[in-house]
Amino acid sequence: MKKKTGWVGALLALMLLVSACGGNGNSGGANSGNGEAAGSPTVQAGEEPYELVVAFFVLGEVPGDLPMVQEEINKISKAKINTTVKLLPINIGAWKNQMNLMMTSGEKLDLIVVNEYSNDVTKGRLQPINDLLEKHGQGILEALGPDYYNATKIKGQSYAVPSIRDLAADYGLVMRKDLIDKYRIDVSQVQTLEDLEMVFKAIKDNEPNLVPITNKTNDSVLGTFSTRDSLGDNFGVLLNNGQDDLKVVNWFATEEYANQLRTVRKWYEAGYVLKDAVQNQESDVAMIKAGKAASFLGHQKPGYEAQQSRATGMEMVAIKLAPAVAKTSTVSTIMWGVPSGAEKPERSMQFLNLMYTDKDIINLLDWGIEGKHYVKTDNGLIDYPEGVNAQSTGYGLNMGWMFGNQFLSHVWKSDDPDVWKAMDEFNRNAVKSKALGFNWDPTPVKAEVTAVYNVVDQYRRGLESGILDPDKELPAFLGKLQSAGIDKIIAEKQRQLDEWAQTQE
Amino acid sequence: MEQTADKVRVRPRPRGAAGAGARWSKTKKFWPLYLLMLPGVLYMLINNYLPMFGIIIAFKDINFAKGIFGSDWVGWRNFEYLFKTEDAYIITRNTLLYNGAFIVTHTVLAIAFAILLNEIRRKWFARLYQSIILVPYLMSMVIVSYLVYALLSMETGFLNKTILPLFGIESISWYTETKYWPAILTIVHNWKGIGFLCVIYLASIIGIDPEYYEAATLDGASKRQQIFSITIPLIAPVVIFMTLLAIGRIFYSDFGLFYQVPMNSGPLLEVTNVIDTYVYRGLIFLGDLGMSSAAGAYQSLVGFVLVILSNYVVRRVSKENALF
Repeated sequence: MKKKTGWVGALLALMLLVSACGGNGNSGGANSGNGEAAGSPTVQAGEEPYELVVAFFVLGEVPGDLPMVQEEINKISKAKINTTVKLLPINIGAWKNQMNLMMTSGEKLDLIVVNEYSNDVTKGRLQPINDLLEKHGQGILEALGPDYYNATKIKGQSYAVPSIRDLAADYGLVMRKDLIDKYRIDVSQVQTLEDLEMVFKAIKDNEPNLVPITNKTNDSVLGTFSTRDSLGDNFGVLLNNGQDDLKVVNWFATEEYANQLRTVRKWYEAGYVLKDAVQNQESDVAMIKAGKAASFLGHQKPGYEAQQSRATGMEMVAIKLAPAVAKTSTVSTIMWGVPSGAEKPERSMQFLNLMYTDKDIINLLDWGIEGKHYVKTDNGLIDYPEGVNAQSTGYGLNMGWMFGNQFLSHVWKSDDPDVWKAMDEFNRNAVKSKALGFNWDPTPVKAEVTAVYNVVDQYRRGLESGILDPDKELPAFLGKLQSAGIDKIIAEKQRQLDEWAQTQE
Repeated sequence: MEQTADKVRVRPRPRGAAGAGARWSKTKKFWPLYLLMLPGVLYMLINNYLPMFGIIIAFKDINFAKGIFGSDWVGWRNFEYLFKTEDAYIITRNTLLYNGAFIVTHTVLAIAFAILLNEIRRKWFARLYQSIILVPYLMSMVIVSYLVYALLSMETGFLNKTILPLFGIESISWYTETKYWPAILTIVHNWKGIGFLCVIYLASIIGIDPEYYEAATLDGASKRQQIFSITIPLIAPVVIFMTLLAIGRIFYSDFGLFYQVPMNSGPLLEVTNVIDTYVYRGLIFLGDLGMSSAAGAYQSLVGFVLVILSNYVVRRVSKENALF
């Protein structure tokens, strides 16, 4: 008998263990959902407190003082809309997977950063927010302006809104200023890619151990330099930034691309280009900081020189080679949307509205707590408090471009005090691609897109770094693109673009 | 245990349904053992069998608003990209040839090292060497890739800057020349993985009864004869077991080896693109759950078939060495 009780006990213990394991997830989820509602029954109906889960990605570590900042934000949002937030930072490396998992398993999410707008919409991850914006998001619409708001519409419905930051991009070279001064390089003479040769030559001749140009991080030497509207993925583009017509062409087969490749090849043969550019894993900034390279090509924005100077620890100069353009891709890189599973989308929208209008909340998210993470200096700019620096600060997120309206945030001491005004003008004055607002949906041709990505991976970086000879390898590249089905992709893209254009009139 | 089972069987049964009664009494007798088995079975069910329903994702166009079960069926469309283009041939060829070569070189080298280690008289040295060849196994592929880079880089590489000039050979652009990479990858793979397999074989060699060797020595067998007539036949079951396991994973490739070690260098894709890297490259942008599940389903199905087939072959040759 005694023996038997022992076994029964073991069985019970086991059952308990199993049920405890199973139960944990559920009860946890339910608690975070309405834990607060039970605590304060005095608030009027429809105005009961609610906690939003706000997910966003972070590029580095999650700052240690984030809970403190969250508490401060909640004080304000509680008073204004009786809503609190739970910030959910996720490292960029895990972001995509984590989002997929959370959404398939129906975990609570109320507001998320969107960095693959078109894909998220086709996959049904986001809910349409036109009505919500009209009702609760007037501040957002005002900050955004009608042009950029329209750019978010897919078949008449908006599913997410971009943060207010640089919504356009211009392109060019960024280079160490000391070299330009030392060798008296006349930057005003440099207008095109071809003109860069004389700049590189001056450096090569005088500083044999310095590579004149390195590749853009994880990209080719040409990097993100662009004179076209990539229409999402560069497989079928609009030339001249979409200023002429809506004819989708194969960028890699254009004469312009071939010319760019020949230019880079010339640089490579003259020894101006990093020889390891195809497999170099070091970032552009790190290469310059380490004194190994002098410059790199890429996309820019107002305040870019100051930003890069800060990052490299050397004074940098930006040489503009292509004008500022607004395209769907420049607008939709960082947006905010309401996931389709959100329980109270109106609350999500109310909080989002605060992120675009409330100076205090924006500055908390961008810079942390005043007095602790930053202090105001005499001229209205901000700086680290005494005894705090970039390494020791508890809130070094530095991602103002993500959290709503960056134009309402404080300006850092080393930046131009008028940087937000300049950026606002930049956004307004940028040329707008005729396809601004067109969101490409690759799902009908996804097999071809996968194949083409692999072909592009094989050739692009080598060609655009001058390591592969364009006369020999470009035809091979084009042949492989053909057999991977790029024509089918372009035809489908043209069809979608024409369809979109009709809804625009 | 078999003895007790016999005892149960011969015990006189109570009247009634004989078969059911026997089963019941057996259950009654062994229920503590079944209970002991329960956590393991539960774990298998939850961890290994339950997720299998996810295979339906491979046949669906996943829409998060509709959920997994509500999404539309798309038939084989998610699989198309794995077979449609000429790349499909290249990646399948690369995956199979590399893994085939790896299985052969790995097994031969690991057995050789295990035998050599076993022959070392001073145990202290044997242990030292064993630890040294195990160290690479514990390294991350990212670190390995930088070690390789330190050798092969154009700007700073040890081979290009120090070794090749000694022989008056010009610098080689390793990361753009496809012809070297099948060899480089095989070397790196063996260098990294051999320690672990070697330890397994060494353990089974140590387990061999020393009397065999004593008898062989008395009969005047040479070291070589001992190795080929005693050691290798006696560890054959372990070798077959490990090889069957490796064959089951022949359609999977070591992502780190094929992506990190060549530093994702485009011009090398012809010889470094395998199924896993192909899927990764295509889907990092598309992020299509259905397509990645399709790739996983395809890989495990082929692995499953190959294991069954090779086990069948093993069973035909020598029954007692087969897995099942």
